[in-house]
Amino acid sequence: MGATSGALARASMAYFNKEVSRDYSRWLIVSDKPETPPAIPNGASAAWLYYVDIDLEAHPNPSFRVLVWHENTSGSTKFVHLVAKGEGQK
Amino acid sequence: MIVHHRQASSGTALSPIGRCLAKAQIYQSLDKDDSGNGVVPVGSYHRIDTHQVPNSHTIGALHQFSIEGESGVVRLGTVWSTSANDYTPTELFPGQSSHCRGSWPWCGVTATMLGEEYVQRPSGNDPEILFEVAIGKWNQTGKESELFVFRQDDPICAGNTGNMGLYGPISTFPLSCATPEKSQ
Repeated sequence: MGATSGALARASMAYFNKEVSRDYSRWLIVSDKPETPPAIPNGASAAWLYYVDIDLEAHPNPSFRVLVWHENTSGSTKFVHLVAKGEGQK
Repeated sequence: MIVHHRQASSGTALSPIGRCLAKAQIYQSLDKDDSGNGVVPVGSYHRIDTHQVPNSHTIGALHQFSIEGESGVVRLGTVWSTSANDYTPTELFPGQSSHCRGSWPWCGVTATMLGEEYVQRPSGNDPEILFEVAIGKWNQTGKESELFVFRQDDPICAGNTGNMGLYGPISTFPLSCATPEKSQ
């Protein structure tokens, strides 16, 4: 995109007013690319790329939006799973 | 109990994947995916979805789901494996990426332009761009972005807003454009 300096000067007083809202019943999880994934540690065949523990007592009945974005440069086909694990009471 | 919706795309070119996800998000057209529904057993794993990623390919996917539950802890995450049916990790990959990954409470931004100025106005056959608008700027060191909504030409980035994560928030902001009047 381009803009002339004159145009910028005419619009120099236009700013955004922003309102930010938080909702702790909804969560965003981002799983971004490991550019060069190493061998899975300790000879295992599966490993967590990322995880977060959600305390359901503190955040009951939550909703999630998960963005998965992975490049595979490992040289062979890999699989990315979205997984939930019950951790019980903590 | 999990109720799941998804949109996925893969390939070797990044832009089409991103556009596909953006369209699905904007138009709320994620597919309902009952195969991801189910009960998360205590001490065990529930697979919500699996993406195959051929070598030299990229996978991009959006998942939306809710969990019904008011006690206990649930661990959510992504697992990288060499087998389509192996999703029970015993290890955590060491940190290896400078790109953002993480989790945040949901965040929404509503931006209101102060004043009545247009971002474009008619000028012959091509609109004249009066100024540029950037929605956000991410931080590739993996830290939270400190800039969320700001004017690109704003020397002090007025209106910096503490950001809980640039990926995934719903940002709403109006842009005013004028339509030229036709002359006789």
